[in-house]
Amino acid sequence: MRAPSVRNTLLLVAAATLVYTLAIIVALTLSAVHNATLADETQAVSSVFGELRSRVARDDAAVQQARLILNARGVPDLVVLGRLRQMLPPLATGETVLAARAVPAVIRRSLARADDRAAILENAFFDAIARAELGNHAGAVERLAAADSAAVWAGDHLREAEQVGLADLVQRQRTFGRWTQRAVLAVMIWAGVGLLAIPLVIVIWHWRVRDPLARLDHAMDAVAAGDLTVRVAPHRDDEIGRLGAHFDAMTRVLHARAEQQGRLAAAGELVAGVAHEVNNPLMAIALLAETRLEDVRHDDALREDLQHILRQARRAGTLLTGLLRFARPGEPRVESIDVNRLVEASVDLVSYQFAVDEIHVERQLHTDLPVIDGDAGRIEQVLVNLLSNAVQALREVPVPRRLTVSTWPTPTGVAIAVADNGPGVDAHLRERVFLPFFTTKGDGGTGLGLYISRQIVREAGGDLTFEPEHGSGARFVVTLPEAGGEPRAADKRREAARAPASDRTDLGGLHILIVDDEEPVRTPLAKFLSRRGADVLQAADGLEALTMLERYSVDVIVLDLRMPRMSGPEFYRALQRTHPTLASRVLFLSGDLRQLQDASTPEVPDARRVAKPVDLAELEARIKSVIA
Amino acid sequence: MRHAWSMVLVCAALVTEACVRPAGPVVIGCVVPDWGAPVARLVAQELATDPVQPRIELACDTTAGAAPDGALADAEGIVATPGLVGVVGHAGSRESLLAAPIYEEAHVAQVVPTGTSRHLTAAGPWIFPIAPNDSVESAFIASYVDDSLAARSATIMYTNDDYGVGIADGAANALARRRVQIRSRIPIGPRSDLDALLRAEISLRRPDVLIIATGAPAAARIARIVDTLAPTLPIVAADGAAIVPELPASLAGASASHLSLVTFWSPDASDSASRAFVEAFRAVAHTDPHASQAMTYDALHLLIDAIRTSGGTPRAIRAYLRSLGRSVPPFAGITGPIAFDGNDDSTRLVITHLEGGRLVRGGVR
Repeated sequence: MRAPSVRNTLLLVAAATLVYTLAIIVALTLSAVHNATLADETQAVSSVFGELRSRVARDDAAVQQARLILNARGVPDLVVLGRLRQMLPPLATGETVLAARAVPAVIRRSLARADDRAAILENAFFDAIARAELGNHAGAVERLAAADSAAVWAGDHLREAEQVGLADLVQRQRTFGRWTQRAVLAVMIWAGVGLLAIPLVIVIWHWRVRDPLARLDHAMDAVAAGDLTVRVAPHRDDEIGRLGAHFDAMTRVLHARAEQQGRLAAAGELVAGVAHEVNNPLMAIALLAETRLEDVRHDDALREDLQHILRQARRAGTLLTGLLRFARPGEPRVESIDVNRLVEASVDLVSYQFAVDEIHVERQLHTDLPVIDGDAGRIEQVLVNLLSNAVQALREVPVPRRLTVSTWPTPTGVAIAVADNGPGVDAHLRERVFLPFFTTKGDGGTGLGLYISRQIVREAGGDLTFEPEHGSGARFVVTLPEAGGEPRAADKRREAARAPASDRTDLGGLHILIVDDEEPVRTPLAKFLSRRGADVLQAADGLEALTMLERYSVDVIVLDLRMPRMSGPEFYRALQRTHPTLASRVLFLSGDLRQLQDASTPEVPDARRVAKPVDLAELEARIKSVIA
Repeated sequence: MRHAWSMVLVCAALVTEACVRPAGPVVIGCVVPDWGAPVARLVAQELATDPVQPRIELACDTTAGAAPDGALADAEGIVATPGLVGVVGHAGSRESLLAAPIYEEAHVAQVVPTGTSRHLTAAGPWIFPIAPNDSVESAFIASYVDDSLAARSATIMYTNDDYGVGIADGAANALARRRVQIRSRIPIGPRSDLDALLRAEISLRRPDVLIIATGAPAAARIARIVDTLAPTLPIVAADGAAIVPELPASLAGASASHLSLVTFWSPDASDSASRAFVEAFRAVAHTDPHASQAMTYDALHLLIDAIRTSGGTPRAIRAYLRSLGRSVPPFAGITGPIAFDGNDDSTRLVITHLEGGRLVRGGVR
């Protein structure tokens, strides 16, 4: 049986409280109404008694007055008799006893009898007056005697009514007392029930609300302290239980994501080291090839071979740069992105799989795309993930295997689609592809790739959607918003670096210090710069360079980052202290420029960063830019 | 769950209804004097041949006693009847007022057929007088005295109880508004010396008209005395004298023809319902019905209609009666429409006189 929700439980408690309160109010009100009725009836009885007593007394007084007049000597005057009649004005309607509705039934009988006798008295009085008016003195006296008798009867009935009324009043007082006692008892019992109910309400509160919330609070504290293995494990399917279940699911996602990021970080470190080791030989190869190409004495066949060596070395260098960016994402950096270039770089990163798996890649890239803002590394991560998924899916189907990457402008920005003709996604699974831990790869997948990809795109203001292909295959579409406003400062600096810094055509007269531990890199670079007219000094690490700076004057320093004894950043910090002007004319050279993001290193402008393997023409342009 | 609660509520309603509704036949009581017996027989015959449910029976006490002891004993006796949901009675205002608390305590609707005291309406939530009240009737009398008899002075003789006081007080006020002088207001009772009272009044104060609010025996005695003292003195009798019109006729003889009697209905009414009632009554009683019998017949049928319309529980009957003339149309009675909307009208009041022991429309000139 499903437990009632917290809302319904609290409503139930509130309703019970309301019923409790209303019950005591109703009980007291009923008691008050009953007592008010008693009070009304008592007042009515008192009033009726008063009126009837007054009426009988008035009647009796009139009879006594008539007797006095009739007993006087002589025939009474008609005027006097007329005045005597006036002593008993006729009753008005409502003055009769029975009109008083509030008089209780037990008294009404006696009061009615008294009322009857009062009426007989009044009738006899009028008879007596009439007889007196007609001169029948004896008859008048006789009727006055009847009136007297009626007065006695009326008095008797009135006293009888008073006795009954008194007994009734006593009974009423007792009833009133009983009602009051009952009301007091009811209030005390009800207060006791209320006191007993308070612990019950507290227990319910602890059971349904406070304890589950406390468990949730402790779990959140643990998560905040970095423990992503904590679980609430809700026991109940109510609001707080569902909150706990969501919390558990969320911490599972965070835990898995943290593990994956940890693995990625370790891989990034590994890749960075490899890239550095591979970059230097690549750069040496490229530099030698480029230097040899400047020798006009070589025949065309050799020149063509050298060109081929140079292109392949540069391609390998570019791939390494991309691999480094992908494997070691730094802090999020928002920059203007050329979407097509990013797509090409991403395809290049996974391109080695295409030939092996006989996958034909088709690019449908729109040539007039708007620039977007975002973190290129993270968006590249999304595209690589989509491409890798597509490659894995295509392996499950026979050739021909087709992968299509397309871009096009949208009303709000840019769209990128990665489509394949693989097995696609079953209809009943389509709604779950973006859920965390959903995977069709069995143990081979974490189930987080698409989930994290969509999170990244949404954080960038776009969305990632799945569109089943007609027939078979899958198509994922990334939409990203167009960049707004002015070009970013970093982009401006990059543009400035690309522009010619001065009109100088060579490096004549410049003293350039090359600091690099790789002799195969250092020597060809020195040869090139020398041929361009510069005086070139060489140092194998930072310490040697500092020593040389004590003896030689230097205009520009080309500095490698990874070196034994004293690394590039350490040398740079020392230079900032000893030669601050020269420090602003250092060009950083590395296959992994993100090492400069070390918090202890001052920020270096993009214009002074040169990625290995370096294009010699670009290096010369950067040197000129720094001097300018 | 909601369905279960609904079932519980329906069952509770059915149980409540079963507890409230009498198990046996629904009973209507009637507490009226002996003139009510033929009416009770007629209605009992009608009910016996009526197949409509619920089955309704009559429990009639047609030996109703005089107030206070008789009326109270009658009421206490009738409320003990099993299945009683309503009572028609009592005939007089005083008896009805006395018995009202007993019916109220027993939660039995009391339909008063002929009582006219204006205090009946305020006597409780279970009492329903169908006759015009004394305020309406006394205004009607004053109008007749002023407009038809052109009298400029009047003496009022009345029984010294709730009925008589109500008519006398109302008539005195109504006549005063019409500038008709009140010579005397004389309370009387069974032992009153009517001869002395009338002789003194006629010889000393000489009223143009005598208005009486008494029962039939007193009215007969007054008619006879006036016939000897002042044969031309008009006598206008309120409805109490016409409750049993045979009485003044038989007691006063030819003198009764001097009486102009106010009544609520006359058997010579020309409408079809009245004619049918007169025929049916003649078949049972072998005589013409009078106004009190017609009013009692209406009161009984009003309760029958209330039971069949409302379902037969006392509270439902009371609610239905209270709604007449308000949310439902007035009940169509033999004597006219019956409603409890607080708007009394005098349309059912007629002036009659006695001819051959029968009431005939039109006052004595």
